[in-house]
Amino acid sequence: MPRIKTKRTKAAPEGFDKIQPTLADFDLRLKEVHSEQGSKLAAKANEGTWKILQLTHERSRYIFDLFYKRKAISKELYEWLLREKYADKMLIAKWKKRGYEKLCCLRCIQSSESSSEGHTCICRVPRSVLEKNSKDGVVTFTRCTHCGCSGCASSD
Amino acid sequence: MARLWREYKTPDGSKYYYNIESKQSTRERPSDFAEQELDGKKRKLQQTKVACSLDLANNSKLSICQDGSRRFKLGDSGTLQEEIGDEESLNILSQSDEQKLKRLVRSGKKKGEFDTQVHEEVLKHLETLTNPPEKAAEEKGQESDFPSSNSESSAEDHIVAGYSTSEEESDNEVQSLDEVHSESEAQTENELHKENFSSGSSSDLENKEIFTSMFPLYSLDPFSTWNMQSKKLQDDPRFYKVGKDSVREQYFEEWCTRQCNNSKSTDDYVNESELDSESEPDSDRLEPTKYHYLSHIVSKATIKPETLAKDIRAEQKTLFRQFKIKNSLDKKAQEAFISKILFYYKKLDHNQRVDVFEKLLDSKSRSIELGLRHTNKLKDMPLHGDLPEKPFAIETLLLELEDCIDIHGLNKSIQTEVQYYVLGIKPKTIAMKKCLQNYESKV
Repeated sequence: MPRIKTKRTKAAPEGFDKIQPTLADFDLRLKEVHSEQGSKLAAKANEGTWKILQLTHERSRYIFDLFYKRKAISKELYEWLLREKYADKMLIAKWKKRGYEKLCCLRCIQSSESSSEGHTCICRVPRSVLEKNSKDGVVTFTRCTHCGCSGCASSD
Repeated sequence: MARLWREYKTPDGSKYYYNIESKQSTRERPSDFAEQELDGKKRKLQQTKVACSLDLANNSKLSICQDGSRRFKLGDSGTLQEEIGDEESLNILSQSDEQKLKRLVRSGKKKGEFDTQVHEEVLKHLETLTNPPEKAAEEKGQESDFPSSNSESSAEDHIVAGYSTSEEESDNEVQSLDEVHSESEAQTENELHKENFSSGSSSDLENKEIFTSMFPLYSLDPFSTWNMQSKKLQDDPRFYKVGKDSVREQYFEEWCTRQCNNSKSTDDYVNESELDSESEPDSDRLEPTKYHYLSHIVSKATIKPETLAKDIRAEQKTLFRQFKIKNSLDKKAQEAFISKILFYYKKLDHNQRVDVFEKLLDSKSRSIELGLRHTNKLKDMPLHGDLPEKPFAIETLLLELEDCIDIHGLNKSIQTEVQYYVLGIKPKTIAMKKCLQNYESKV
């Protein structure tokens, strides 16, 4: 979620007007997701946040791409966007590292907090390894519980 | 002709034979059963139409049937066999392009759509394989005649042995053969797909062009995401020229980077040209060379044999501050340059230093000539007259002269030469003028 604009927030640097429509679109989608009614099934208890996490991931990726891949925005604007929390600074920091290029969310690499006995999330395991380790070559894993990621290893 | 004898199994599993014409049934194998069997097989072999045939050694031929199987025609016998014993032919086969053969097999399977191009290619290849070692083949001819006939008979033996078994077994065999064929076909298909993928790169490029040409038409926003922009395109048939969405996204990203950079570079270009047009008439904008002021300071300083760089800095503190040397050069670079130039000041007297300077310009004369510009301006300058009296005017003259040899563009390398700075401003201007007079006369 971006910060709420107040009198004290600095004015957006030049070039913000070019990306504003896209950011507004993201906001709209986020609102739609918020208003959706989640499932009451206990089995789907985790799924409520998946879409929100996915959207924030997408927006972070968008800003990351704008600055590092397309080189379409200035450094000032990029920093302003990070400060206003349009993108997840910590997540982007991970994306710059080798092996974490496609990381879905920070919780999935947080070994101390995860429920799966102190390991990183299953979505970090490459699909080829999953296939190799399964008995009959069929992978039962579809989505991780943290953010609904279906696999974010760099080799996938 | 239908076969007379049929083989059946009783419910307990033992075999019996039944004649469909005489309606006889026996448990013993009828004497004419095997022959029939062979006849039937032969017919089967010949029934499969030959799609094309390729010449191998010793009159034998490789025929590719329409059902995709390979048969060998031995000599003049005219019968098709599944195996070939002839060593030479086998050699040729092993040397020939397996890929192309497989493709031939595949094209042979599609009735009516026979790939003549591949056929010709394979034929050519086989010709080159068979022709050059012709002599050797002739020499071997007498020897190889014997084994070939031998192999023929052995092959026939094999066939007899293979098909003299019961119908069921042979059926099994045929099935397994078919399976092998289908497997190999699957393989070839896979390979073909791969080939298509690699050889289809040209068509991919076309598709990419078509695909990217859509973007400006639909006025896509290069500052947006593919996820949102793709909705605008989805109804266009060209959208599906590219099969995978990840590939589409990649193309979109490429287009975006190009778009963003284009707009930026055009902005930059405009800015630069504006700057240029502004700066040219203004002589104040003339940029001094990298060590211009530093060399000026050194030339002003009193230099003794034991002077060091830091002594000069201590002595000329005010000048250092005045020319803001700190802004353009850091301490290390300053010291390195001063100590280098001090060598010239300590070891050589003024005339020698002028010589050094002129030598440098001589050695660079080629590039200076190339970089020469504003020739009309050069003519206007008081090259032949005396120097102006004010030191500021002298300096501007020097800077203008330097500009004329394009010292910030083509002749950038001169800027970094230490020998270029061994003179103070005034003697340097004189030497420079002298040098440029030569060029002017050439122009």
